[in-house]
Parts: sequence; C-alpha cells; structure tokens
Amino acid sequence: MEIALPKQVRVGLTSSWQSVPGIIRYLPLALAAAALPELLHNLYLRDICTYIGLYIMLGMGMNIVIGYAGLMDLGYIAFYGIAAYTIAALTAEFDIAPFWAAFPLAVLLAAAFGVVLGAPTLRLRPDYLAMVTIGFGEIARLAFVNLDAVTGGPPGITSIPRPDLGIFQVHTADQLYWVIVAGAILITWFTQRLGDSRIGRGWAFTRDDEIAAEAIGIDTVRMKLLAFALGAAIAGVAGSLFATKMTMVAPESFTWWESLIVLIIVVLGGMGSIPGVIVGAIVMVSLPELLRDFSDYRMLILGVSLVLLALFRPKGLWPAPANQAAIAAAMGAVRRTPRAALRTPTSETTATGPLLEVFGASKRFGGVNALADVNLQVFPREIVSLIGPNGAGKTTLLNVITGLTPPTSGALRFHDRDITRSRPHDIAALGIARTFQNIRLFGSLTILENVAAGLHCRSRAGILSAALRLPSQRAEEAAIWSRSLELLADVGLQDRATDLAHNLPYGEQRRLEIARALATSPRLLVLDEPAAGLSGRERTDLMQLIRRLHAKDIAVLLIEHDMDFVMAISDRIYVLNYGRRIAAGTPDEVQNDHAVIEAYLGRADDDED
Amino acid sequence: MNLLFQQFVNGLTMGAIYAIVGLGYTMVYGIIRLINFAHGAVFMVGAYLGLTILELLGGATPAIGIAASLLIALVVPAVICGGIGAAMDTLVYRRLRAMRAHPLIPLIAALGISLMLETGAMLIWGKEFKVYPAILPTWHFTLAGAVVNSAQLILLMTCFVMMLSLHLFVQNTRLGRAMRAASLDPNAARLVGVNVNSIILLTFVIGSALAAVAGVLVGLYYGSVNFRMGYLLGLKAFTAAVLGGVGNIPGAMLGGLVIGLLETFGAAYISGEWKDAIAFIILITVIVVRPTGLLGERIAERA
Amino acid sequence: MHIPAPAQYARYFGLALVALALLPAARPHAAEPILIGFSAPLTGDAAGSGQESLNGAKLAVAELNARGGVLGRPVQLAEGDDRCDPKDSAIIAQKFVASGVVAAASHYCSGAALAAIPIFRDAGLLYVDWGAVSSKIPGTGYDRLFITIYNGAQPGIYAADIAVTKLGLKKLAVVDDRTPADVEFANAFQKHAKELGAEIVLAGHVTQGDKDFNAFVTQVKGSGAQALFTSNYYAEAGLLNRQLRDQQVTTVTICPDTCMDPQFLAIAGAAAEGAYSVSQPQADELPAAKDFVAAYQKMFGKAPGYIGPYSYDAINVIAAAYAAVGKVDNEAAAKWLHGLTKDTALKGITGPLYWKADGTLPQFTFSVYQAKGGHMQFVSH
Repeated sequence: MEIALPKQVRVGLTSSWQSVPGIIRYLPLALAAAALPELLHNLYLRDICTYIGLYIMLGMGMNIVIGYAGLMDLGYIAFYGIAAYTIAALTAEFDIAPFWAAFPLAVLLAAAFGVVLGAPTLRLRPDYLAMVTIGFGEIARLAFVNLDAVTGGPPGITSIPRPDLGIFQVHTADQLYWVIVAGAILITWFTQRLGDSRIGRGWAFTRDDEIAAEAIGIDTVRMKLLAFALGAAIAGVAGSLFATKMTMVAPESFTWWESLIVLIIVVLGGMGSIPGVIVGAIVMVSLPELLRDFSDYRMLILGVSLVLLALFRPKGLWPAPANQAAIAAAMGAVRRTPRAALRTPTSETTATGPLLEVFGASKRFGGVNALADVNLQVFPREIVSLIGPNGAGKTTLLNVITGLTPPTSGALRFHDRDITRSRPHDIAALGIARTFQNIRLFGSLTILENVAAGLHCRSRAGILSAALRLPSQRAEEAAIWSRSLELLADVGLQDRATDLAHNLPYGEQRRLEIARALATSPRLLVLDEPAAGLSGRERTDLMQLIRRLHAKDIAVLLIEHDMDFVMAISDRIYVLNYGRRIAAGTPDEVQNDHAVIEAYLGRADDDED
Repeated sequence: MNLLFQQFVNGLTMGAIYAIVGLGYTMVYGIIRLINFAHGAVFMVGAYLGLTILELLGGATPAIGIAASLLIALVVPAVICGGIGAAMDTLVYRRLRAMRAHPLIPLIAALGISLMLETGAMLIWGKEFKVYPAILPTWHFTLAGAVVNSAQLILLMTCFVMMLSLHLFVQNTRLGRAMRAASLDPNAARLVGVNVNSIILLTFVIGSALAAVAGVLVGLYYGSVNFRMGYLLGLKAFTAAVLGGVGNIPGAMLGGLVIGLLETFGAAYISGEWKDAIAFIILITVIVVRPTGLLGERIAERA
Repeated sequence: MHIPAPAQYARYFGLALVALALLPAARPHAAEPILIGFSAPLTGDAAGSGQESLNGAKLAVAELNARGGVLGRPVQLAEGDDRCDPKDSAIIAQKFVASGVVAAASHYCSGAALAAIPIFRDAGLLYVDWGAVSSKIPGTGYDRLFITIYNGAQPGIYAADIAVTKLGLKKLAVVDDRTPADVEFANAFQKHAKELGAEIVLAGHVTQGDKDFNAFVTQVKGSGAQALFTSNYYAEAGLLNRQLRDQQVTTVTICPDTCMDPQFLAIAGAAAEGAYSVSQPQADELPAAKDFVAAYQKMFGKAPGYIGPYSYDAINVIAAAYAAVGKVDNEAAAKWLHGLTKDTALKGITGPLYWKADGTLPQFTFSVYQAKGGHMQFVSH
C-alpha cells in the first residue's frame, strides 16, 4: 500500500520507543515502587505507597469514566464501598467465602451497580448525571450505615482476613503492599491500552460530540455504559483490596469527600492522562501527609493549593497529549501491512428497487407540523436533492431518515429493512451516513482520528483484545489507520492528518466531515447543505466528489440552497414547503412546477427568513 | 391531624432555608453552569458574621434596640458575603472562564474555596459550636394544633420577602432582564449589548448575600452555628435547586420547599435514618422522568 | 492516553521520590522524650470534641512534665488528626509507629479506633482508649488495650435504670444518630427499660450534622412519651432539646455524659433545664476532679467539656504504668495494669481505674446530674 505520509508522522518514525512492548515500559514504575519502601524501610512510607497504589487504581477507573468518556460521576466511591463491603461480608461477617472467591463477586457486583445506575441515567446531561451520582453515593453510604444485617451497621465489619489468593496466602502488610502495587500496575496498563484502542476512541468520540458519534455508527449509550461498568469494576478491585488492607470497613470511609478526592486526582493530574492520574494520586495522598505537621492549617493549605492549581495548571499537572495516539497508530499502519478486512454494510445491492423509501412520514413538535405525510424514494446510485424555503422541514426529514428524531407517524425502509424506530448508530451501520448543516466534527481530536471514527462501526475489537493487543486487533488497527489515510487522501487532507480538527478552515472541515461519513462505507450519503460557505473552487471540487460517488455505488441525498449546484448535480429533486412535499421530479420538471415557483417566488414573506 | 400540620410547618421552615440557599446555586448555575460548591461555605460565614455583629452590638440586649440590631446583623453579613462572592468570581471563576478551562476545573476551584472558607472560619471562630444571643422575642402561638414560634415566623417572612423581591427584581428591572437574557444564552446576550461578566458578578453578589442572610436566620432560629454547618445544608440546597429546575428561580423556591417537606414527612412517616435517602431517590426519579426539573429549566440547550 | 517517553518517566519518579523523602522519616528514640500518640478528629464534624480531648491530654502532659516527667524523661504528645476516618487513622497509627511512639492515648470515633488497633497490635503499642466506646473495640482481644471511658451498653443500661426505677417513668422514647456508640446506647436503653417494665413508645433516628429535628420532635409530641433518651453528640442533643421546648413538648431528657458538656447547656439554653445526665463523677464529688477543672480553666481559659477528663486520665494511666514497672516496657506495663484490682485501682478523675481482661472498666462509676439554673447539679449516684 502506497500512501504518502505527512511529514510529522515520518519524523515520529525515528523514535524507537514505540517498538518497546507496553509491559516493559512499566518496568521502571514497578522497580521504583519496589525500591522505595525497601530503601527507606519505613512502615509509614510503605503504607502511604500502598494508599497511593489504591488511589491510582481509583483514579484509573475514574479516568475511564470522566477522562475518556466525559461522564460526570461525583458518587464514584460508592462502587469502591460496595466491593469493600462485599468482601467484608463474605470473608468476615458471614465467613462463607475465601478472598479469591469473593473478589470476582465483589468486582462484578460493583460493575452491576454501575450498569444499574447508568442504564436509566446515562442519557442525561452531564450536570444532571453529576447530581444523580451524588445522590447515588449518598444512598449507598446510608445503606452501609443502615442495613445492619449485611453491613454491620454504623460500626461496620472488623477482622477481615488478609487475602487468600488461592495460589498463595497473603500474610503480612508487606505482601499486601506487593499485591496492591501489582494491581495498580495491571490496571494502569489495562486503562492505558484501552484508551489507546478502538474502544478508547469510541469514548473520545462520544465525549466530544455525542450526536455526531451516534450518527456515524457509534452506540453511544453502550459506550457510556461500558465506561461506567468498567470504572465501577476497577473501583471494585480497589475496594476489595482496601477492605483487606484496613482489615475493617466502616461507613466513614465512603463519604462524598472521598469521591471528590478521586475526582481531584483525575482533574488535577490531567483528564485522560495516565501519568497525570499517577501524579495526581501521589500528590493527593502525600500532600495531606506532608501537611500533617501544620495540623489546623492543613485543610486551608490544601484549599489554597487546589485554587492555585486550577488557576495556573488548568490542564492538569500532566495533561494528556492530544494527538500522540493518532501519530503512533498511523506509524503502525505503515509498518505493518493490513491483514484484517474491515466489515462492510450488510448485503450487496441486488434488487433494482429503491434503496431508501419514506412512507407518509410526519413529525410534530408540540403543535407544529414540521413534516406532514412526506413520501420519498432514493434509488441506488442516484443523486437526489431536497429543496425548499427555510423552515420547510428539510433538515427534520434528514433527521428522521438518520434516526436522530423518530417520526411521529409513517414508516421508513432501507435496503428492504424497516428502520422507522432504529437508533442512529444502527442506521449508520446499515449504510446511511450523514453530515450536518453546522458541521459536527470531533474538534479536539486529530483529523486522522475524525476519519477513523467512521470506521468504528466497521471494526470489532473489544475490551479483551484491546488490552491484550491480540494479533487480530493489531491488524484491525493497522487497517483502520491505513484506510483513514486513504480516505483523507481522497479529500486532499492527508498532509494535515495530525492537526486538530477545530484548527481546519471552514471549507476543509466540510470535506473532512464528508470523508468521515464515507469512512462508514455507506450505501447512501446524506448531506445537509454541503456547499454552504464554500468558495467557487471548493464548490466545483465538491461537485466532482459527489459525482465520483456515483461510480462507487453510493447514492446521495442532499439539502442545498444553491440552485445552480442542485440543478447541475441532481438526478431528481424533491421540494418541501411547510413540511409537505409539493413537488418531485427531474431538475427540469421541478423548475417548471407551478407550486414550486409559487413557494419560492409567489409569496415574498417566505423568502425573508 | 394537628401533628400532620405541625409536620407541615416543620417542613416549610426547613424548606424556606433550602430555597434561599438554593437560589444562590441556581442563579450561578443558570448562567455559567458551575456547581459552586463554595456556596454552602458562604452561608456558614454569613452565620458567623451575624453572630459576631450581634455580639458587638451587645448580645441579647443591644443598646440600639432589637429591631435595629437585627437589621444590622442581617445587612452587614449580606454585604460582606456579597463581597466574598464578588471576590470569588473576579479572582477565580472569571479567570477560569477567560482561559476557557474545562468545566470541571472551576468545580475543583470551588472545592478549594470551600475548604479555605471552612478552615478559615474554624481558625477564626474556633472548633466549638457558637451560640447566638437570644435576641428574638420568645412568644409562640398555636395554629390548627401546630406550634409556631416567633423565630420561625420571622424566618419564614424574611425568606418570603427575599424570594418575592428577587422574583420582582428579575422579572421587572433592566438588570433583571439582562440576567435572564444571560441565563438563556450568554452569547446572544453579549451580542445585544449585555455585559455578561458584570451580570455574572451580580449573580454571585446576590446569591452570596442571600446565603449570608439565610445563615443569620439559621443562627437566630436554631441558636447555634459551627464551621461545618454549610456542608450538609449546601448539598441539600443544591439538590433543591436541581429538583426545581436549575437556572429557574421560582423552581429553586419550589424545590426547596419540596425537599424540606419531603425530608420532614419522610423522617416522620417513613423512617428517620433513611430520610436523606428518600429525598435523593425522589430527586433521581424526578431527574430521570422529568429531566428539566419540576418547573423546567431556564437555560438554553447548548448542544 | 499515551505512555510518555523514558525521559519523562524520570521526571515523575523524581517527583514521587522528592515527595516521599520530604515525609518525616523515622527517628531512632534515644533516652529523650517518651512519645505518646494522640489521634483524634481535630478537623471535620467532631473537631469540637477532638480539640477538647486534646486539651485534656495536653494538660496531663504539662502536669507530668512539671513534676519531672516519667522515669526522668519528659513526656511528649505526637498529635494526629484522624477526622474520624478509618483510613486516616490507620495512616496516623503507622506514622506513630514509624516515629517512635511507644504508647497511644487515642480515638474519639470507633471506626478510627478499630482501624488503628491492628497496627498498634503489630507494633506492640500500649493503647489507652479514652473516647471510642463501641463494644467491638474490646472485642478485638488486644491485650494491651485499656479503656478509660464506659463501653458498649453501659450508659444505656444505667440511664434506663434511672428513668424507670429512680424517676418512675413508664413511657419512654429513644433517639440515636446512627453512629456506632449511639446505636449501642440506644439499643441497650430500650432493652433494659423493657426488662424493667417500661414501654418504648418511640424509637427514632436523626442524622448527625443536621440542625433541624422538628420532624422527630413532633413524633415525640404525638407519642406521649414521658422521657426521651438521647445519646447524640451534644450539639444535636442541645438542638433537640431546644426544639422540644419550642414545640411545647415537656418530656424529660435523659442523656449520657455528653450533656455534661458546657456546649450542651449553651446550645439548648433555657430548654436544657431539667435534663438528666448520667456521667462520671464531677468536681463536686471528687477532689481530684476539682483540681482538674481549676487547672484546665487556668490553662485554656474555659471550663472543660465532657470528654477532656477521659483523655487526661488516659495519659496518666500510661505514665503510671511506666513509672510502676520502672521502664518503658509495654509488656510489663500492660501486665501491671491488668494486675490492678478494685483496691489497688488508679485514682482517675473519672473514678477508680482498673480493668477486666478485655480492657474495659469492670463497673463504670455513674452519677446522675440534672440541669438547674444553667448548671449541671449532682442528684445522686
């Protein structure tokens, strides 16, 4: 595969660091963690390191939730508590299971609570999610206090044994320290790999623009739920170890303030940044310890530090690099020949019948009929335009077709499948891709990643293969990047692959959005005012691009106000006015249609808005 | 029956306090979408300032008369806390806005400020509870079997007057309209010539002043204050604001009253140890079923 | 989302090392001061009582040092603010051990105590608990643990006795705030009162840190209770009393020694009048306690709270044990303390101090006090 690589990427190739296997990169961390307490031979320091390890785990889990997926969780410690109490109840209070049996149960239970809390609430706006999670955290704490029969009530549960790991029995605090260090490293490694995978990118897309992510085939609800469940599970791992470290659990350990500490660790370290979380955990555990001798002034100093850090390090102590992942991955793509094929949408077109059919679609918003009984068909390889005055319901129709707003009545068929109630990401996976009138790119991500977003629904690597970097996953990643570069080359943006999308000029943003839509290998491309704001030259390029799609067996449905453009490119045209279809036909037919002329020219006031 | 009414009066009193404190959360949130966690601490500082002023004026038997002394004890903390609010905004939040920090950064700063205020108060006024001078007349009357005392009446009336004045201010004055405009869409408001930064400053000042008055009222009614009093109350007041619909001023008032009543009836008729859980479960239910709060929110969807 | 280059690594390990190196390292203990660890909530919700107990301990240390210390060595407190958080308490305990603390006079909260005990046990510290009262603490079976305060059910049982037998009350209400000590007191009160033939007409729960207990007060009003047993923290107990009287409820309040705190009287104001408190003997009864009150007043400029005497005693217990065995030897000291009997008991300002095998006081000395004219006055034993 011959692809001209951008300069920046080539420069990056000289670095040998990337060829070091991931696990070895953690060796210094492991050695340092091991050396510290041995070096200093101080139980106090060993304990502080132990708690740093626990908070690193918590931070990593929270980082998935808040840094990767952008979900506000202010009750995170509840999951930690649930797992700690599960271990306490099973291994001490009722004494019915050894640690190695109780541990997976505790982690699963924490994850299950994450799903239970997340499922009904993840569609909420971030701030409401914050409120719901605060509430959940408090409810959990009150449950710890008041469910005496299970939780031991206010005094909690004591005499929790040290973990019996099956293979070996942890007897001393020193050994437990090793277990916690190992756990912290494992979880760090896991979250890092996950972040740098298809799953991690899925979270980033969801975080950056949920609607756009959904529209190009990412099941955002599932992504969010996954983040919540994984975050909760990691908190569960930490909670289980915490219970055995303390040898007791009590409700005071799981207050709102603890949730806030974990939040501070992630935000202060730098959201989404792995070293950031580590630094954050070190600071938030050792700073209060360093300040112990200031006794009453301790919290004052901590408060001042938080404000100063917010003001002077607003991106965190160790911010996540924006586009490193994309560069690295792109390099991987050229070093290895892609071996995995990406999936394509369902079946090949066989019939000559319509690709998309809209039957009597209506949409009411409150009392307003935005769409009334609209019928529409798009045949394979056809270029169909949708025109009409402002407020005619054109964008509403596109939203209905792409599943963003389900119709009030009527039905939609695509490829002989009923898609009337399908969610946008399913529709995208079936082969309808779209762009937006007001361009919805993932602004904080690189151009290359933006295109790769379109390939999300054509790839399949899951958590496990991402964490283990299985050969199939590596091949798929390589295929994603090389295909993305190809697509970028198609729209002439290959030289800017590692720039951030929001730095692109307007016209190129339009092209990038089209490239992203094309990445999903659509049968039908839906464009909402693709020529708006383009220069004459860019408009011609766009027209050529759309015509080329015809050759690639892709049909196009577009909204456009530029009549010259529409007339020049369309096979057929539909005209909407006040939510109704008033005409349909070839450009010639429509141009001479009475109702159309009246709609555009007859009543001057229509033209004004 | 008389017990039911008594519980209603109990809930109303608590709800009025949540409402006043909740207003500060909701006004700030409505414009800059910041959960100002320092707000509860401002309430606490207000309560301490009221105490100090009352003591300076001669405690339970002030030389200048009870009414005048009360007025001073309400106004001065309001002014000082208004200043604290202004300082918070200009020194911290405005800077963070200017550098377009991630929304969680101001939240962290707010936590820092609340730690500073709380610890500061602890260092100034001590760790012990401080007792308010018994300045209010101690009569009571019985209404439909419910005992209502003077402090409760003064608290309810003051809260009501404050809510009404705020409502009238926001609805009828030029500044109030600018405030509503800014809360609906700051960018549009900026375009039509509203100085959004001064409006934000104003909401901080008003919110903090209201919290200070609420602090003094709480001190007068309950009789004692300490440096932790803003923590739990702030959380509940914020809950009230969300319940009513964030950014919605009448919503915060309604939300406050609802949370107050819920807590009281929950404690009395369901279970005392679960009362906060009940309040949160209802809150979560409302958010999930009706995400715009009871009265709807007054902030633009900025998708 | 990405792993930094090796050079960057060095940066954050450096940072970690610097941070950790700055933490006070262990000092070998020479023949200098005897370090006693004092861990209590010095910030947060219970800071008031934490500070109060610290004052009591400081007074004891000052007096010991004025008399030339213990075994010729000065006594020094190592303070730690545990915020009642078990994790903080565990860290502090470990810090005590690392910095050469030999004995601990610690803990106001049961959670904090239970988290520290395993660490004290590993290090062999002599541990005198002056404030945490959960029965789970003696339940840990640590043989160097001695408690200078009542434990578990004791105050509840005694208060029930007073209410039913002494005061002849038959319809009783109970409230707790779902903190470990409180729940044990309230449960013991209920159990014992029922055994004595009284009826528990209402058992309620309130939240620590709340200011408004009117909902519960109205329930008390409706229950027709003659007396209310409240073992809440004095701040909540004070507010509760105030709100009872505000709603014209006339039940008699009975509390453990929390109501001996001047703060209770101040917060409740006139509403405290008539409230009973079951408590350790006060200055009126014990000359030693009288001296304590005077010395405390002199050193801190205010009257001692209810918890100060227990921490004061705790320090003196440690000092007495070391002095008696002639060396700073925890094994010998614990053995000596266990060997004390009713006749050889240490004379604490809270009563005679000698211990059962589990480290609790065999019979805590309770007296009954009643609020009259803004003061707690002795009623009976």
